[in-house]
Amino acid sequence: MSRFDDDRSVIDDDVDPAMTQFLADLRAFADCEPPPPSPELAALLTGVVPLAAAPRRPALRRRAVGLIAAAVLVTGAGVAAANGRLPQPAQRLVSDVVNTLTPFRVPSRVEPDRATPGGREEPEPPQTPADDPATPPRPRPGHRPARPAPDRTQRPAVAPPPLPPPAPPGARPGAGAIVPRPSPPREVPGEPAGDAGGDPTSAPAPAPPNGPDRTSDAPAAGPGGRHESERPESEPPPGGEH
Amino acid sequence: MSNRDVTDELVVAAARGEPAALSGLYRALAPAIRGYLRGKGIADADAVTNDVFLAVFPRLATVCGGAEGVRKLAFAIAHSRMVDHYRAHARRPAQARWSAEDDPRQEVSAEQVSVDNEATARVLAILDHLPDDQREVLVLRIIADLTVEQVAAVMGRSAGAVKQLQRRGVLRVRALVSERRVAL
Repeated sequence: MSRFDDDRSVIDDDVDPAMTQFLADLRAFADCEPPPPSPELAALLTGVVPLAAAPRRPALRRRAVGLIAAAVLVTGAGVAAANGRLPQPAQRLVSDVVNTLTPFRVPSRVEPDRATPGGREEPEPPQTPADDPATPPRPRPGHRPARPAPDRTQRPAVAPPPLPPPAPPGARPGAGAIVPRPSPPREVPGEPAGDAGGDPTSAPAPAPPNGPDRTSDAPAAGPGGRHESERPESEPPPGGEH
Repeated sequence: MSNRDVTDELVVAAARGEPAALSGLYRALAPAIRGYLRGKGIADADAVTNDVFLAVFPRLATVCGGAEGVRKLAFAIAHSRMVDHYRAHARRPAQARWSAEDDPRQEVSAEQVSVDNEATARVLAILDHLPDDQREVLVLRIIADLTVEQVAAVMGRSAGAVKQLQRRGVLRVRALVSERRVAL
């Protein structure tokens, strides 16, 4: 007796002969000889191969290898993003995913000191004593020099010339630091040199020898419109001549 | 030996790896598995049946529920193999048609083959008009002879959903049978 006959309510009381024939034909699908076993199955049935050593599907191995590879890839991307080593779009994408789905925090921006010309910056090499302190820094390939912060109060009427002007008439030769070559302009021509630096007491401290201060994202510009890291230690602060 | 001849003692002996018990389990369950796969329209049902038992036998030691547990496991694996088969088919749709003349496993007479093929073709033609879930329920209930709860476990549905699918499937089959009788 088939278990399906228990559900007579489905078939109704007036059993259709055609319906009965269909059910009998469908049930006859199971009334057949078992198919001949394949060589692998025959080895199991005869006990030649123990059940524990039965062949497994290779799809499971492929799936496991794929899962491991994906896990390694995701972990590597997460670690690189946590260290800020990814390009900016990838860094933003990975940080969004990690910050949304996990309790970890990954910065969404690449830190400025790590950005290279192709999306990152290399750390600035330390200034050596052999460097000419008066020589303006040579532009590195792919690196745009930082523009000085515009000073609205001392903005010149005319833009400074691109080439360094001759020394001011009142300048003493050899005063202060040794200047073998003309240095880039620190003040606007026509204005007194003492006005360029403002209050000498408020002059910033010289930059540390191993590079500029990296605590701020914006490049710090000196009073004369020059970056603090470009001023050598031996040079007095602007406007500091007494 | 039929599908209902699977006993708890047979399952215990098969789980120990006794060849006679494994062969008995295969003879008892393989026809129903093959019929289920044929009812789902799989052309090479014999090969998939072998694949099902290659997956069932290593798991016998971990099966709970005795004979009923093994039957449920066997049809659950057959269901998974059927799904895998159609997924692989979707990726490789081109396939040669089966021909009775080219199949060396046929040993019955040509008349019997014709009669069997006619009945089989008629049943499959009606099943082809059913939605997949209704067809699955009817095949598992009638060919595999599983209970509503076992069918629900195999399909990952609730028992109530299986009953609804069964009712709709039977009503649809009845309408199709009536249409064909009128058409004939």
